Amino acid sequence: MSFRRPAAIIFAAGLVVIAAGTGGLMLTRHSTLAMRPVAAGVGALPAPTGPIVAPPQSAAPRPVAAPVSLTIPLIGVTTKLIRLGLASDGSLQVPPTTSVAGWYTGSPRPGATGSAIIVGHIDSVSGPGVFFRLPELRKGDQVYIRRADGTLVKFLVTSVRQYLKDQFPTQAVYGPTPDAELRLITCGGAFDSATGHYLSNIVVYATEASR
Amino acid sequence: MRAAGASASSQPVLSTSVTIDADHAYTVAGMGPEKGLRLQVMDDDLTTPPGKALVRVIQASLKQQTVKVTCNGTTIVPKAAFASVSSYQAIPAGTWTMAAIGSGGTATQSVTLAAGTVHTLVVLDGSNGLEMISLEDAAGAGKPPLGGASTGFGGTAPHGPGSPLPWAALIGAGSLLALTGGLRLRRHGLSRQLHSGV
Repeated sequence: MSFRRPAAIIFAAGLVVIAAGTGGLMLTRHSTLAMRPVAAGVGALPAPTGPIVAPPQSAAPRPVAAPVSLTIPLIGVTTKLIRLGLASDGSLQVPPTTSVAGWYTGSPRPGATGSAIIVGHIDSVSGPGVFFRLPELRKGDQVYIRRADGTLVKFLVTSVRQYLKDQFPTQAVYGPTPDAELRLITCGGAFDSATGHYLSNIVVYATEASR
Repeated sequence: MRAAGASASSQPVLSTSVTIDADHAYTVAGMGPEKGLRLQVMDDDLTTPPGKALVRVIQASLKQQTVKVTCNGTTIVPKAAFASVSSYQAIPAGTWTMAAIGSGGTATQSVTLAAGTVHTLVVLDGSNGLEMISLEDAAGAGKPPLGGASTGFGGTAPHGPGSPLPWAALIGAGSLLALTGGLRLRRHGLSRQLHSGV
């Protein structure tokens, strides 16, 4: 009699596991489509308030405070900006979480002469990331950066481009510019599930506006 | 080019036409003596070598017809004639003492050059003799990253049906368990027990 109960339990457990396996198999037979971004303007935020600083003058470059947060009203992006450096292989370091964006400290500060680099994830393994709606941006859309001294810098999008990562235009993205510019970088294009990486980068170019 | 503060409808002092190509940068400078002032348009080079800055010299001093420009004593522009623009010199990042040396005077300026920046040194006649102004024309990432950024994990990308293997393995394991349990039950006479109502 003492051998029956464990045997019955094993048998019942086996049936449960078979049921779980069959259920799981049936539920995972479908494909999922790409998650579609919502239309531009939906979920828009109000523009940040406060006086907007004037663009820099080359003859008297004033030191500019470090960026602390980024707001893109039209696509509902509001995030603090963490500091990023370079990874050990010399590529851009990326934020450790998918819900914040970061500023590459090796690039000029936003609002100083030059091209400031800001990076954020488009998605996590399970859903949208901070820069999921970046591809919706169009020329003329507004981007705001709040700095450590409380000042507000406003940028206007000039173009949105997609590049294959192995054809990345280093000079256009990281090279010197004579005015205060911004590059917002995230991933895009086809996703290679074998490597777990997207094949392209999306770059939003923006230039500082005076008001 | 009009006098500072002049209205937009006033007669310009100088005018020239410029063809602007996309993705280029230009500097327009009014050069020359008062009677011979002309506008010069320069196509700017914004390609900095790694770890270096680009520096050029605009010689705008009327009193010093020819000027030599040195960087920490090393000559970078041997002979800058009045109203000339030198070619770009690549100089390693750092703080340098720039000197403009003419036959009648010298001007020095301590200039900090960050990697990835483009500068213009303008040599001109100041109230106290020769002067040099340092202008930062452009800046980029001092240390450009290699390639793009790995900023996505695929959670919003389309994907096909999941692999059936884990589920098949689960079914297999469950079958083994059921088989083991079922055989043991048979061996220990469960069916007899059930029939006896215990």
